[in-house]
Amino acid sequence: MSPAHRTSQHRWRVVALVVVVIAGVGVLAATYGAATPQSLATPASLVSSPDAESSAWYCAGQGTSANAASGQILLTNTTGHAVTGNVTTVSDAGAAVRTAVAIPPHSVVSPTLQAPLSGSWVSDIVTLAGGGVAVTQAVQGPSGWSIAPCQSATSAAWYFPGGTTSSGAGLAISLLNPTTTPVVVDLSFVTPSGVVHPLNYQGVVLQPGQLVIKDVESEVQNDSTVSTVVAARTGRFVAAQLQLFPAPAAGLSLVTGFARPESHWVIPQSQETQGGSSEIDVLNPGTTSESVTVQLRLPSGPLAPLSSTVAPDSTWVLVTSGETRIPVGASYSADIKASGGPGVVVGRTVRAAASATAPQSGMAGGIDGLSTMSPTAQWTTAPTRCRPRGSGHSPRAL
Amino acid sequence: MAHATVLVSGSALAAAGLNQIIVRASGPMAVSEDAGPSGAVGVVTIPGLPLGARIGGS
Repeated sequence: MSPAHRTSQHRWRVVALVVVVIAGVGVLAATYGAATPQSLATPASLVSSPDAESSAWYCAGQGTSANAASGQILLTNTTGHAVTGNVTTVSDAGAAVRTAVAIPPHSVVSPTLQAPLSGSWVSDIVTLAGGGVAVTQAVQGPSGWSIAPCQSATSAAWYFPGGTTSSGAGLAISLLNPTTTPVVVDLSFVTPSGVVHPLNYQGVVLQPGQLVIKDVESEVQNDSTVSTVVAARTGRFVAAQLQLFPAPAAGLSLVTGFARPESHWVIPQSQETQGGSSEIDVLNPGTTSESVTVQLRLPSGPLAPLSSTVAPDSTWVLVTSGETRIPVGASYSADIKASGGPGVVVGRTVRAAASATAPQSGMAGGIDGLSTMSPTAQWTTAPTRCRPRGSGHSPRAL
Repeated sequence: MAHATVLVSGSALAAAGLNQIIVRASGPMAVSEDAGPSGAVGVVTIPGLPLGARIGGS
């Protein structure tokens, strides 16, 4: 592998279509603000208060120009004052370099980050002298592009619903320890034939500041659905998943982990396409069965719900493209509820027809219940047009 | 409206350019952004980030 130079060779593709989807969550509205045990928890990505003294974000899962997913971060300042900070970029070879950043008021900055001298994968630890800044990360490669939130908190466990290693697909998990103490983690993979605990992926030590990449396809080969659970024996860390879909329906997806199972998930916008396929992946990482109901809604009204009992350590793969009740080309939302245990983790995988404009394949997590319950009933969306790497520091301009 | 989904199209968002987009609601909401090349089919989907403190007007 060549050094982890972050170059400006790749011009970020101009996004052809951007749609913001806003789905009402009626059932939750009735209990909004109610004191429940889960209300004490926060989403894995939450923009802190503008008057916070400091804030931190962790962006794991980016590749470099040496592999198929060159990365970049975007900092969105929602406040009326400038925010300054540092980005520490660490590589999987142990190199680290720090870059100072400044985000003007109400601006979006895609900073030019210094590159570690070695390594093929990088992660960014963003520390800011203030709050109110959202941080997202984007990756781009020959197969496509993807944008995902960075994580604003560490966790003792991370869950990834769905993923695949079949037909030459690449699947990698990035593990970053941004804390000052060592962390020991175990990786397990939920496949159609059972849970796999590769010996080499147990007791993985993450030293403070260390980034470790684990290729899933080398240990869990040619499985159509691979959900991943990464649990720490001690300490807290962050994790992200990079899925590479091969041609002819190529794609690249960066998915940040979910910190916990939840009982309610929403997929605000879906659509089945002619010649394509899609699925909703419902992972039950718990020790008890979950009764899961998926309520699909067209603009004209709800469809008959789909339901299943999802056994512990299994993934319910609901092939929505195989459901004749869903008209091809129609927009629909999905509301997923689980009962019987601590909850489930939900994602969606889409493959458009190979003849569609690239990228044709992608995956993303659902919107978890905690994220629908924004404490302010406000959300920010990521800018979807990125600067080419190394092209400067100015905000809001390509 | 409960259980309703609203799509804000790319043409409407064009006016925002590269500026950030803030979504305000009167209650719980699932917010996502679709930046795929083939329409809103979900190939490139980005979840909205909840804000921990309210900004701007209501």
